[in-house]
This record gives sequence, C-alpha cells and structure tokens, in this order.
Amino acid sequence: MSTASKPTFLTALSEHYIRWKRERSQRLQERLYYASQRELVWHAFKKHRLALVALIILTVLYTVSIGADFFAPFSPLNRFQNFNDAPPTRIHLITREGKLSWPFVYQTVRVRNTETFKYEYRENTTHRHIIRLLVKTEPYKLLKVIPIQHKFFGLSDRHVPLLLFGSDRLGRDVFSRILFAGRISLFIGFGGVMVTFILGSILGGISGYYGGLVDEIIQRIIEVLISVPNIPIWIALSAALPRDWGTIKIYFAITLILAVRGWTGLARVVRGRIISLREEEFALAAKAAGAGDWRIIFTHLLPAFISYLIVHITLAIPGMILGETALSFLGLGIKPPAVSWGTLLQDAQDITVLANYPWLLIPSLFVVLTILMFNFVGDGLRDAADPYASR
Amino acid sequence: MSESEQPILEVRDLRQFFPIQEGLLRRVVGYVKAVNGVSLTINQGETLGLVGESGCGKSTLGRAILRLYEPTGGEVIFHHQDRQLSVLDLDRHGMRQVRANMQMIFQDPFASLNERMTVLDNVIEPLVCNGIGSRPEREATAENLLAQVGLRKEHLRRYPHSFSGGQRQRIGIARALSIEPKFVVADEPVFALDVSVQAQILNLMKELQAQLGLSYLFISHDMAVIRYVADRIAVMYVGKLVEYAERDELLRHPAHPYTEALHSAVPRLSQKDSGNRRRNRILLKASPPDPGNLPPGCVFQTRCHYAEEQCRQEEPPLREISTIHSVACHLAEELNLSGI
Amino acid sequence: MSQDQLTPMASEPILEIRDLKTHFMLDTGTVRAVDGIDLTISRGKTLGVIGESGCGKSVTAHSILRLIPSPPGQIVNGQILLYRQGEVIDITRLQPKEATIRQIRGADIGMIFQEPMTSFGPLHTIGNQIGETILTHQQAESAQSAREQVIELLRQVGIPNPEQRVDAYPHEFSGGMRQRAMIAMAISCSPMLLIADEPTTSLDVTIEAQILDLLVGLQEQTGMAIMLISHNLAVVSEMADDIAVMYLGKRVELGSADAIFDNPLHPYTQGLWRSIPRVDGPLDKLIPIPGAVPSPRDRPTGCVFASRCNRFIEGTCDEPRPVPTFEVEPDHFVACYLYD
Repeated sequence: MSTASKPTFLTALSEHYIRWKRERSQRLQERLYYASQRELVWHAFKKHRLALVALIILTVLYTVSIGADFFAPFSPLNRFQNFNDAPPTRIHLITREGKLSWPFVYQTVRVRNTETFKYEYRENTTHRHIIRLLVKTEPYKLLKVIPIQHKFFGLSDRHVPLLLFGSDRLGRDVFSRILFAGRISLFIGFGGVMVTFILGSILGGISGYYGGLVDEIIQRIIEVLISVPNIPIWIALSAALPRDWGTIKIYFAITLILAVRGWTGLARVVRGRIISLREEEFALAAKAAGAGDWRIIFTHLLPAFISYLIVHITLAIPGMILGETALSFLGLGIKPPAVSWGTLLQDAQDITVLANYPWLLIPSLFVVLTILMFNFVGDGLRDAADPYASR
Repeated sequence: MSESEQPILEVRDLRQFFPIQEGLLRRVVGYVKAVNGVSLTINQGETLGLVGESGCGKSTLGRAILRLYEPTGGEVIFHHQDRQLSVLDLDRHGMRQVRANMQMIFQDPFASLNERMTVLDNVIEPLVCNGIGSRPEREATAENLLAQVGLRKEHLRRYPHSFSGGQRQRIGIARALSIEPKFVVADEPVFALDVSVQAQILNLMKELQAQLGLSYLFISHDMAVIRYVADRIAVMYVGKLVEYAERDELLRHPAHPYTEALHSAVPRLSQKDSGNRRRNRILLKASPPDPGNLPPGCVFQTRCHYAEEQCRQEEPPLREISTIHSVACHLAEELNLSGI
Repeated sequence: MSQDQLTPMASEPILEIRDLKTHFMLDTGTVRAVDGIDLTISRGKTLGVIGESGCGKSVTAHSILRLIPSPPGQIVNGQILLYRQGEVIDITRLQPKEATIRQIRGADIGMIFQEPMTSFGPLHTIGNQIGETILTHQQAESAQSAREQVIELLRQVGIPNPEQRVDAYPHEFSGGMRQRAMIAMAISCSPMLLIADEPTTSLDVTIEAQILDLLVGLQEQTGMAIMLISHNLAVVSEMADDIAVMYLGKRVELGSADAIFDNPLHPYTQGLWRSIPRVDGPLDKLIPIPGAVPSPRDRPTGCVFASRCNRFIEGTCDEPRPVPTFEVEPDHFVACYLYD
C-alpha cells in the first residue's frame, strides 16, 4: 500500500514542479514580449558577471569622487606641518594590552635620525585615536549646496594626521587628493566623449546618409587627422594654451584637445553603419511610409546602432583619461593648485621618489583600475548590445 | 476585369541605372541597368504578378515606382480621383499625397519592422509621418487594423521580436494599409516564411484586396505563388519585360522562350510520370548576363535555344500579339512553345 | 544502369538511423532539435526529407557527419549505422576528431550545403581546394594527377572550360557554378551517399533545374544514394524515391514518394498539401495550417503537431508521451493516433 502510493505522490510532486517551472518561464517569456530594447540589453548585460562587477566598482569610484568633500577626510590643500613625505599611517586593531579594538591609529611624530640625518616617523603609543564613521567637523557645503558638518570617516582630533596613502612633499594627504583629483580625471573622459559623440555622429551621419561630395570631404579630413600622431598634436595644442587661463577654462580646452581626434573613429563607425542600414528594409519601409530624411536618421537609423555607439564610447573613455593623465604628467594639462591624477603623478617623476616615497605612485593604481573597469564594462556592453542578434 | 479596366498606375519606359564607379577618383565607367525601359499598367482592383529570377530588377522596379530610388528616366502616372499625377515630377508636398496612396509590403518581416518601436508605433508610422489623425484616433485605427489582419489588440504594446515570421508579416501588412492606400507593391511577401504559413498570408492579402478594393503589384520569383494571386502576369528578365499577359494565357500559351523555360524548370508536385524522374526539362545554358554588361540584340539571346541571327543584332520591342498578350520576341509567331 | 534493375537494391540499406536524439544544452534550457528519428537510406536510392524551419532536418544531416558543435550540441541517444564493405560502423560511437570519422566524411559520405560560398575558403583556388580533398583521402598519387582528376570532376558537373576554371577563386564563380563546384568536391572521392542540405534553396529556378538534373544524372552514373533535405515539397517530389516528413524534431511520416503524395496520412502532411500553391492542376483556394511552428524551446509535450492540428483529440494527443508509429500500409509509417 505504502510502496504503491509513494511513487504516485512523487510523480504528482514532480509534475507539479514541472508545471510550476514551465509557468514561471512562460511568465518571464511574456515579460520579454513587452520588453523594449533597453530592457533587453540590460537583461543580457546582467549575465556578464565581470562587467557587472566592473560597473559597480566604477559607480563607487565616481560616487566617491563626486562626494570627495564628504568621503575624503581632508581638503586637498590641507597641509600637516612637519609631515612632508610621511608614509601611510599604520592602522592598528590590537591594543598594547592585546585586546581587539575598533581600528585606531597612534599620533605620529617626526624625529631626525642622528646618524643618517633623515627624518623618521615614530608612533607615540600613549594615546589611541579611534577611526570613526561620520565624524563631526566644521560645517561645510557638500557639492557647494547641501550644508553638512560630518565627514565619512576620520579622527575626532582633527590635528592628528590620518594619512591612508601617506602625504606628499608639502604634507598633504595623498588619499584625499586622489579623491578630489578623480573629479577632473574621471569626468574629463565624459566631457571629451560628449564632444566626440556629437561631432562623430553628426559628421558621420551626414557623411554616410548623403554620400557624394560631402562624404568625400569629411573622409579626407578624417584621414588627415588620423595620420597625425596623437601625443605631438596634443602637446602642441596644449602648449599653445595661454598661461593665465583659469582652471575651468583649461579644463574645457583640454577636453576639446582630447576630442580633436577622438571623433574621427566614431564618425567612421557611424558612417559605415548608416551606409549599411540605409539599404535595410526598415529604412526603406520608413521612407515608403513618408518619413523625411531627418526622421529616418534620428528615429530609425540612429537608434538601430546606438548600442554600438555606447560601446564605442565606453571604450573611448579610458583613452581620454590616459590622455589627460599624460598631458598633466608632462605639465601641459591641468595645472596646480587644481589636482588631477596626472598632476599627482608629477610628484613621482624622479627616481628618489620611487625609492623613498613609493606611496606617491598610488594614483597610478587608480588610473589602471578605472581603465580596466571601463574595458570590462565595454566588453559586457558589446556582447549585450545587439539583443536581437540571437533571435 | 470587373472594374472596367480603369488603370490606377501606368509605368512608361521606366529606367533605373546605378553607376559603376572605379578607381581612386570614383570615375563612372558604366551603368548597371537594373530596370531598362519597363512599361506596364495596373488596373483598379487587380493584381499584376511580376515574376523573374534574382537580379532581374523586379525589386528595383517596385522600389523605383514608389520612388524609394530616384529613377533615371521614364514616367510613373498615378490615377488619383480623376487626376493623373506624374509621380516622378512631384515635389515633397505632392509626394506625400502619393505616398498616402501607394504603399509597400516588404520581403523580410524580420528586417522591415523597426525592432526598437512597439507594434503600435510601427503600424501607425505612416499616419504619423503624414500627420493624419490625433494619437487616440491613430490608436483606434491600429486596433481595427490588427483585428483585420488576424492579430489581437493586446499585441499592440509588444515589440516585434516577440512575434513569429507570419505574425510579423501581418504587422507589416497592417502598417502598409494603415494609411488606406489604393495601390500596394508587395515585394516577395511570403519568401521568408515557412511553407505552412505562406498560405495564411496569401489568403489574407486576397481577402483584404476584396474588402478594400486594393490593387497589387505582386513581385515573386515563385510561379506557383504568382499563379495563385495574380490576374495578369509580367515576366522580367535582366531589366526588361519579356512577356506580359493574362494569367492563364501566359501559363498555357507562353510566347517567349524564357517564359517557356521558366515554366519547364519549376518543380511540380504531381510530376511522377512513369518512374522516370528525369523529366524533359528545358535546361537553359549558363546564367543570365550581367546587367552592367548587356549582350547586343535580345537580352535573352545568350541562353535562348531558338536564337537566330536577327536576335543577336536587333533588340525586340515589347509588342502586342493579341489584346491580352504582349511579348518581346522576334520569333513569337513562328515558335510553338509549350506551357504548363 | 542495367545492373541497377537486376539486383534488388531497395532492401539493401547503406545508412540506418535508429532513434537518434540530438539535443542542444543552452543556458536557457535544452533544445531537443532531433528527438527520436528513424530513417533508412537504401543503396542507389534518394531519400527526401521535408520539413520547415526548426524541424531538425539539418541537425540530422550534421549528426550523420558528426558536425554538431559540441558543446552545446550532443547526440544523447540512438545509433547511426553505416554499412560499408561488409562492416557496420556506428557513427555515434566515434570520437569527433578520430581518423575514422574524417575518412567517412568525404570518402564514404559527401555533403553539399545550401550556401556554397561559405563552404569554400576565399583564399585558395577551387582546384586546390578540391584537389586537397582528393589528396587527403589518398585518391591520387601526386598533386598533378589530383589536378587532372579535379578537371575531370569539374567537367562531369558541367562547368565549362574546366582547364581554365580550375584555377579560379570561389568569388569568380556564379551561385550556380559554385554549387556545381561544391558537388564536384562532394563526389570527388566517389562517396556511397551524398547528403544534399537544401542544395538549391539559394538558387533561381532555371539554375535549380540545372542542379537537380545534374544530381539525377550523377546518381544514374555512380549509383550513389542521396539524402535530399529541403523545405520545397515540389523539389523533393521530383527527386525522391522515399520521403520522410519531419516536424519539430520528430519524423511524423515516412513512405514511398507516391504514397506520401497520393495518400498523405498525417494531418501535418495533409495540411501542407492543401496549403501550398501549385503551378499546375486546379486553382483551388489554399487552406492554410493555422498558427506558426512553435519555437523548439516550447514544444508541445504530447504530439508535436497537437497545437496546430485540425483533428486534435483531447485527452489523447496532448498526453505527455511520445506518439507511437503505425504502419498503415506496407512501408508507409505515420506517427498519429488517428491510425491507432
């Protein structure tokens, strides 16, 4: 009796499960029927784990840079007296008594080694300074708008240095400076890419859709531009910038300089896509429906490959970031007191730095990290870009 | 023709050449004569079947009539409310009026719909482009159309990717009809569909024709499909019409050697004669000439079994051999060709 | 020729497929592309395989030559028995890279594809590519004798001026010529079986007729068996001795060509016959099969045709078990409960 009923129960259960699974996949399928292109791309992108992680890391980097006022413990210009070229502050978890504690630091003091005549930093272990989240400071405005009087983390005693990545020659906190520098370095990519995008898609679009003489002229200009090597053209243009321009002006000028060549690649991509899509049936169908040129380009052709453009752009941002870093490193880009990752690395130009103060190279790690992450995201987007291809 | 032979569209000596460019300076070294002087008439409420092999220019002809290309020469006359509009001479404004009356159904239902727009937006695109109706009115039109082509109105909010080929072609038809055209060019509308689905679309197109009094130019390479839908049939070969007649006349009594060969080549379902699978097909030699480099004389002479000296020198004009039958062949009266 | 008629060839199988299942494990689920197929190809005969998209006809062909990309594809069940010179080889047991299977491909079984352009590499001449096949299978002693064989083959498949064309590159050939070259390559090692997967689908009717004629002629000369896969019923009807009708990975009907055409049993086969336009015979209104072929991902659990069948029996056809095959008349098999 029991042996007979057991299998039937199990079959019933498994049938139930199969039906449930079928219905579930059907529901998912049905949701896809109503999914727009954006949703389909996102659906495909999410499956690309590495790209998803990279996207999260990039988001964190950007958030932290935008909110540098809040996340960085100090202002980028804040100098600690007698803490020139100080190494990263050690963070302790175990007290002298051997007990576990919140992360804390000791006050560091600088002493001159009487034999080598070099400065050395020693910990004064009498007093523990505990690192706290949301410490109170003097009131300031976040992003120049929101009044706030807390920092994300720090010590309650503002005069005790907490130098996560050490300090530079003038005693400024490298960690804080990296965050503030990200504002310029991370966003100059966007600015440059925007210009690239606008120039590239308009000129490429015209070139591809109308063809003929316009096409010829634009193509020849592009060919001339790409035959000039990158670095010399950048250097020449930035060297020509007036010395007395303010930071903002310089910033935009550099953006433009970076975009001067950037658009050419994009324009070619756009032109190629437009030429092939122009003959596609949906473009002809739009024409037969009575759509004008403008409508055909902007509501039919451009959306059909916007995803490719986004991929192209994502992969172009790292180039822009590297360009800015290179220019600023050579002293031709952003100039102090404004900070970018390039200007930070200027401090690390000579060999003594590499030997004695290696923490000044930490900004380069951020450059590498950002560029890698952009490439991963770009890869993921490329795979997801054409959600219809697999159907 | 019950509609008393009222023409809706006349094509006169239409030519569509594409330049062949060569070298660095893109010098024009010749022309691909895709459509090389075609004249035909389509009457109200009838279907003209245009049959031909790939590369013969039949799709180009359909597109040139709708002015999706800019034809090189010739005339397209559209009869609209007792007026005769010369389509190729119209400006943008005049063109809109014509577009509203001439629409197209495309070959590949996977390529002709915009994947990024909902079915609704796809269907009402012609209305939007021509500024007809308000948004709610357009939606109401779209709902009716969808019902007419056999889809449900919930489908309007979906995107094309969720439909099968047959359903997409229904959407394509709804879209072409949204603006209530009088004349529709159907360019191989069942070519990309599964065999079991083709009949659905063919029947739908016939029903809509009966309901709405449409005229079709039905382009296909498949003689069986053409026979099912067309009232009259035009046969095209390398940019030219070689024969043009009423359906049964053309099938039973072809007057052009190419038409005969075409009939003979079409595989038949019921052809299982006496265990000999090697039917006596008329096998044409080689392949059609390159439309960029045409032979002298008749376009078909390079493959024709009957070609004579005259055919290699003089180009035969398309001429009437009876009231319902025109052919472009010097030997039309002498040959006794076999039909289907 | 005469030998053909004397020996009872029909009973001698050359390839036997037993309960073949080829599945694709995708991350969205398992696609059962071929799900329990039985087929037998007899020496010197032509087996036609008819089916629409997704019916698994090409996957079956690729399974025979072990060309299924793995992963995701896998032969999960069944046998493919090749009878050659007194030995029987189960192809499903071979390792994909093993020498035996490579020898079978080309030497015992030749294959031609729908798109001949992709089957030839663009960088080598046609002659070199065919010659290489001959050399790998040791059918020629030297490159020079291989070349002579290639020229002979090209002449055999009807390529004009084979002495010159042997040095041409694939792009210099027209579609029909390329298909001929492809056939020359496939028969270069005189296979016992030629698998032709939609050999004429991308060709025009007049060229199609040439190729079909060529295949029939070659079969008469060499006595090879042909497995002709096509969605075009008319092509199959003209060529095949036996016909298998496939639908969604199942063989729904199998019989002699006459039986399948004169007395179709399965509702799907009957539906197909009613729904395709013909060039000859009475011009009846087509009766379409409703709906579309379901995606292979969500196939019905019972009879695969249940969702579109006009003779659907509630409680029988939708029962989640495979439909048994019935032999309704001698050598005419059908998988349908109507004949239970």
